[in-house]
Amino acid sequence: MPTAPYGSRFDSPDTRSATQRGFVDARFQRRFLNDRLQLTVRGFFDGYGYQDFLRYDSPPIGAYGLDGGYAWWSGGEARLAGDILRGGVFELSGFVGADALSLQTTSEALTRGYAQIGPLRIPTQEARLSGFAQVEATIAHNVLFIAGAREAWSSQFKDGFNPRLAAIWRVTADDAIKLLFNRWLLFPST
Amino acid sequence: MTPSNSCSTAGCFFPPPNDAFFRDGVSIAANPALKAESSTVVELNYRRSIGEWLSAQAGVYYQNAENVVQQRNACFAASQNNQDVFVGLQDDSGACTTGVPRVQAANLGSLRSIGGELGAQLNRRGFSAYAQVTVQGTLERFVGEPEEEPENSPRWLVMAGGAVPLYKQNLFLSLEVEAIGERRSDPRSVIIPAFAVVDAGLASVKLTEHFDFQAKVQNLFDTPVYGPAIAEDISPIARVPQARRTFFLLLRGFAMRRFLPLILCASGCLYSEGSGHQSTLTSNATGFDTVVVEAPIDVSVIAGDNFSAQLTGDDNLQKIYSFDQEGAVLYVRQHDDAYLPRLGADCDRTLANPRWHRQS
Repeated sequence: MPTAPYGSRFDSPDTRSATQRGFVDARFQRRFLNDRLQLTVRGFFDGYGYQDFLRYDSPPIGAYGLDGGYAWWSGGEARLAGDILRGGVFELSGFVGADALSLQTTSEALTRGYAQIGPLRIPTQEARLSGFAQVEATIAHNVLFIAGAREAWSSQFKDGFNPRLAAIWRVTADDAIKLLFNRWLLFPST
Repeated sequence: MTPSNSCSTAGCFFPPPNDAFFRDGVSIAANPALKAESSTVVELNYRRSIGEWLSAQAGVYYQNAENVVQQRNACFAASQNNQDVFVGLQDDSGACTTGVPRVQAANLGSLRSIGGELGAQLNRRGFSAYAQVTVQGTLERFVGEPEEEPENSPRWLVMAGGAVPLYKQNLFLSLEVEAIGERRSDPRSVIIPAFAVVDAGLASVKLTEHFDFQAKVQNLFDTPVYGPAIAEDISPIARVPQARRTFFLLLRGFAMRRFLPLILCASGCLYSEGSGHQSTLTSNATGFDTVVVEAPIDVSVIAGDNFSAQLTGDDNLQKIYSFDQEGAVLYVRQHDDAYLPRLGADCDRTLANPRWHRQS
C-alpha cells in the first residue's frame, strides 16, 4: 500500500525505511546442596537499528530527510534462590540477586532541500544497577506471605525503590483469598 | 486480576530510548530529563472451587500511576549544544510565539483506576464454559487539563464462551461472546457505542491419526464494530472500523509418508529490480514431512498424493532462492546477500510475484 510516512511525498519510490534487530542471550543454571540452592547467571546483548530516507519533493528542489536510530543493550543478572527451611509447619524460601545494564544509543538526522539541517549525530549512554530480594514464608501449610523489593539505580533517571507484598490464605481446600500490593517503576528506556 | 484497562489504554506507554534521547532538529525534541513512570497497585482476590468441575473467582483492585509519558506539542529555543530548551506550549493553531515547534515525550499525566472482576469456569465430561465480567472506572489528568475519563476505557467488559463435544472428544463446537461497553475515541467527543460480537468454531482434536482442522467464523452476525483512533497531529479517522464477518480455516497434517506440499507465496516484493522474464525453479526433493521456509515470504502447505514443488517468478528471483533437503526436512532458503530491497524501483512493474505450486 502506498504510504507517506512523516508527511513525506505520497507513494514516492525513494522513500524507504529499514530496521535491524539481533540479540544474544546466554544462561547458566546449577543446583547444589541437595537441590536446596539454585544459582542462575545470565548475560545478554541486544542491538537495534533504524534508518529511513524520506522524499519530500522531487529535484530540482529535491527535499529529503534522513533519520537513524541505534541502540545497544548489554548486561547480566545473577540470582541465588534457595529453600531455607522446609518440611515443617513454618517453611521459608527466597532469592536474592543483582542485575546490571548498559545502554548506548545514537541518533542521526539530516535534512536537505527546504531546510539545511545536520548532519546531527547524538550519542548517549546510560548505566543501571539493581539489587533485589524476595522471601516467601508458609505457615501451617495454608498461609503464604511474600515480601520482595528491588532497588534500582540509573545514571540517567531518578533511582527507584519497588516493593511488593502478598498474602495468600487457603481458607479450605476449595477457597483461597489473595491480597497483593506492589509498586513498580518503568524507566523510560526500558 | 490485572488492571489492564489502565496503563495500556490511558496514555501510559512503554517508550523506547528514542523518546528520551532522539532529536532531529526539525520536528522531534529530546527529553533527557524524562522520568520513569510509576504505578502502585493493590488487589484483593477470592477464588473458590466447587467440586472438581466448577471454579469461580472475584477480585477488586486500585491502581495509581504517576509520571505517565505522553507526546506534547511544545515550543523550543534554538538548539544549544545539541539540547532542546523548552520555552512553552504551542497555541491552539500549533504555532509558537517564541521558539520553534517540536514534538516531545514528557511526564505529563497521572491516572487512577478502580475496578472489579467476576469469573467462573466449568469443565465436565468434555463440556467446558467460562464467563467473565469486568467493571472499571479510570480517570486521568494531564498537565493543564481537567481530570477526565481517558479514551478507549470502557466501563464494562463481558466475555463468555463454551465448547461442546460433537463426536467423542475429537470434534468440538465452540461459541464465544465478547461485549464491550461504550468508550471514547480520540478526539474524546467521538463516542464508540457498546457492541457484542459472537465467534463460532468447529475444531477437531486427533480426529484422524494424520489430520486435524479448525474452522472459525469471527463476528458471526456481521456486527459493525469500531476501535478507537490513535491521537495524531492530523488524523482524519475518529474511529477505526474492525473486521466484519471473517472465515478462517486451518488444516494441519502430521508427519506421514503421503505428505505433499503446495506452497503459495503471497508476497514477493523482496527484490525490487526484476528483469521481467519468468523462469521456474524445480525441486526434486521427495520423502519430506516438514517444510522450513527461511525467507520472508508467506507460504501455505497442504497434503496431497505426490511430492513436487516449483517456484515460478522473475528469473532474478531464481538466483536468490534454493531448495535444500536435509533428511525429512525441506528447506526453502534465500541467500543472505541477496535480500536487498533496492531504492527507487517499483516492484510491481518488473517483478512477477513468485508463486509456489505443485502439479499432482
